[in-house]
Amino acid sequence: MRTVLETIRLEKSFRAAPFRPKFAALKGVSLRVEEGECFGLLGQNGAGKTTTIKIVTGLLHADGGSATLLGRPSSDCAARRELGYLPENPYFHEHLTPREGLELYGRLVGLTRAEVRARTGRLLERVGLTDAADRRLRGFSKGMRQRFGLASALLHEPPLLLLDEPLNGLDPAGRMLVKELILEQRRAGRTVVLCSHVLADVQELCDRLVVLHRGEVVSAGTIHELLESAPRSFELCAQRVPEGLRARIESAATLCRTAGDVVTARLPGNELGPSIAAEVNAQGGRLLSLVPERESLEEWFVRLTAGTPPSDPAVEPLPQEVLA
Amino acid sequence: MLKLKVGLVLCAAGAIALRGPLGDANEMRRVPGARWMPDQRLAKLFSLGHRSTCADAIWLNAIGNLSRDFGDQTRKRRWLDTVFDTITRLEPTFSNVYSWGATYLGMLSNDKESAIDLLKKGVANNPDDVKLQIELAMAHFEYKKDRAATLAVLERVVKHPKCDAITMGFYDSLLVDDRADYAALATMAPWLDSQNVDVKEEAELYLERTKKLIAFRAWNEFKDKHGRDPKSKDELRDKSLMAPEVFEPVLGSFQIDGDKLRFPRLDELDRKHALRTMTSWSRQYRIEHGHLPDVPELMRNPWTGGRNIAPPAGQHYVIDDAGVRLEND
Amino acid sequence: MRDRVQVIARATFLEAVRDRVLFVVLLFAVGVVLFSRVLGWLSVDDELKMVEDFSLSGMSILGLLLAMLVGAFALAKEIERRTLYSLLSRDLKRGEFVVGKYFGLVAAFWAALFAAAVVLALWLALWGGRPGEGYLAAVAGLLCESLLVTSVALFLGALAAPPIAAVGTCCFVLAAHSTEALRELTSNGKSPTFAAVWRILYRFIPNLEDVNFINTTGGQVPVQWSHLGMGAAAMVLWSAVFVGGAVLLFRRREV
Repeated sequence: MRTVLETIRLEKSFRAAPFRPKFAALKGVSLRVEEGECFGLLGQNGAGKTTTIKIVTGLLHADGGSATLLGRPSSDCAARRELGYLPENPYFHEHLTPREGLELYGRLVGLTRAEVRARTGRLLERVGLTDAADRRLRGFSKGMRQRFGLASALLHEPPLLLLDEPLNGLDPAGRMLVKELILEQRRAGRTVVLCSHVLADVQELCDRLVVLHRGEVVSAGTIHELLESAPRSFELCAQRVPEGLRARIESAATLCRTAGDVVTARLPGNELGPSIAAEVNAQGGRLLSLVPERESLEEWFVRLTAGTPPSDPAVEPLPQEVLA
Repeated sequence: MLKLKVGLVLCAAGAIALRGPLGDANEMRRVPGARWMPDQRLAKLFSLGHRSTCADAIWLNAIGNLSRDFGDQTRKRRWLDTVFDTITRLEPTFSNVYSWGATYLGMLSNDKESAIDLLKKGVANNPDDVKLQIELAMAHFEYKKDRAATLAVLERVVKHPKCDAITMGFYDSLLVDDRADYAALATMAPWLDSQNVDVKEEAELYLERTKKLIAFRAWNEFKDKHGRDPKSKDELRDKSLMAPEVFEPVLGSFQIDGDKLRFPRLDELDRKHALRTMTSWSRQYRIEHGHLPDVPELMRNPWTGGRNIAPPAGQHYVIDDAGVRLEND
Repeated sequence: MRDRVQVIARATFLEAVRDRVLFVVLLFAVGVVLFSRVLGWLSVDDELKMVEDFSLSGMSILGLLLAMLVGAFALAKEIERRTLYSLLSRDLKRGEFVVGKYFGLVAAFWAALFAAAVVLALWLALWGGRPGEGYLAAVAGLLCESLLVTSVALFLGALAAPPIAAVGTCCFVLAAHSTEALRELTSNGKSPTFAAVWRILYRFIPNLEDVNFINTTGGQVPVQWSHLGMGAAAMVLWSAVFVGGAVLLFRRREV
């Protein structure tokens, strides 16, 4: 599999004000994105995500290290033809219409006017902006701008999509639309780099992710590798539970509620739940459901960035070839 | 919201009401006659490239102040000098400033030297402006009675293609007074071969008039010398009365009728000229009134009838779309 | 490269002409043109001259205001609104972006100046005047002036914050219109040293008087077309210097 995006020991410092000391936004960030995967870039506010993205897209110059897009330096303009970028809270030239805007962006990546026109109608329909195609972008809501931004990123069918908070400001229908689009791109073999604070979405969409914290990579790997594999607890729901067993459930559960003859309880650990479920069945009760609860990405992330090291041995150090 | 609107209206009304007393107070504060002008050497610098516009603005301001009483003639004089100097530095080709300025200085301010100096400056900066040169010549003649200076200016002016016939005629009359008869007759020579009939006739008219001036001068000098009218043209063939080169043209232009001189060709040309004037006046009359004038109206009008050009005996004026012409009774 | 510059220029042009600021400034210029007739009535015998002079001065100020209010803010607006992100993240060099911006702005400003010039020509014709050679030269000079002033505004906009760039542009125009007058003053002044220094400086300061033909509309002074041609060439060269400077500054700018 080829590497679509790679950064090696990226460094970047900023000076907040003249004559003030610089602060380091990036302290040697190294990451690699392989072709065809959906890659998550996570981090708290100020971790360095946007700085990394800006260096990759050529908006900033790195102080040290390197960044490549499909093997070419990211500072090479021609390399950016392979990139579709949606910035966070995108703004566009407000006096242009979506059609004019797409023509502008399309021509910049080498599409002819005819090609742009052929794709514009289809794309605007896909993102639900057909009715607003000839309205000035000035009057667009945040969600509409977001969708237009997505359309402009997809216009030239780039092999790599870099999406910074793509679900920001969208209503539930819009969010579903964008997620479908991302999955469509993946199915078409394109690589997606997703940067988002909504970790539930990242967990749902991404294969691998990297976590930045204070300008450094603190964790990297697949979702499965990063999160605890064993369930932390089980949610048990059972009907017609015998009294003795019900008492045991109530004493062992961290949370328990009864509605009629249905008992719902959260049973800690990864063994208690299955054993109680087996006893319910054995004692003539009816097991309605037994759902394992694992640590969510959000819980894991908060724990990670708060300083507590992850306890799961599935978290492994970065591969040597990335650090090399 | 209502309170805010009412408040706004009251504030605006108050400010407008104050305009009256404030305007009076500003008027009282103004020192009569005080007119500040920046140093004229810095005029171009301060104009920031908009020299002609600044010149226009200063001139517009000056027009209003020309007739104002400054309370102190010296101060007004200083202001006038500064204004004209500044404007002409900014835009040396602003002809009307020289023209109107000289008129004001010469006729209203009685400062004839300054008027002539201003016109000289104008002519120097606008060598192609015939109007200014004519005004300079007239200023020399009217204000200083300096015939030599007048002739010197007019000598250049009459050679200019845009010089008018009246100026040429005036020049000729001065030459005749100076006994430069041949030069006087030669002034109109370039236009006598013009393809334009009107121009040619106009030139001939003024040539005949010059001949008439020479003829009358000679006639009167003969009379003064000999105590009687000349009996024939040959008696006027005297180089003390006129230049020998002009004997034939001048003597051939008139007939002696007792004690009077008749100039048939001049009369004919005068009539044609009058008809041209009447024709253009009648056309203008039709534009203004929607119909052609009648003959009594034509004769009453000071621009035409006042010229005392009565129709010759046996003829009358006719006015129609073609113009004004003479027809036999 | 030409295509990309053209694309940016077109987008900039559309943005500028649809912007309220340009419309308001153009309205001001047209107002000056129409009002100048009133000033003409105050004069004696020079009515149309007043109309032409004041209107052309108004158009010159139009060009300056457009450069200050639109040109000086052009780059900063793109950065502040982050519209730049969508552009520079594509196959577009920073230099191409700046050059495209410049051409787009010039096209928009020229469109405004043309509109004002047409209004003035019609206004003059309405009052019996006839715009002649001097008028054409004056308008051509204003267009050339706009080339340089826009490039300076863009350069200063890349160098400093927009309000400072706007003020700087205004100061530049004032200075560039004063160089000729200063040369005259210093040569007649008391200090030969200052005169010598100014003679050297004069060579290196752009001179807007090279294309200032507003003062020739009276028709008394014939138009020196070769002078205008050389002035236009000088404006093009100076503009290239300032646009190049803007490109160099913008290349290292953090967005």
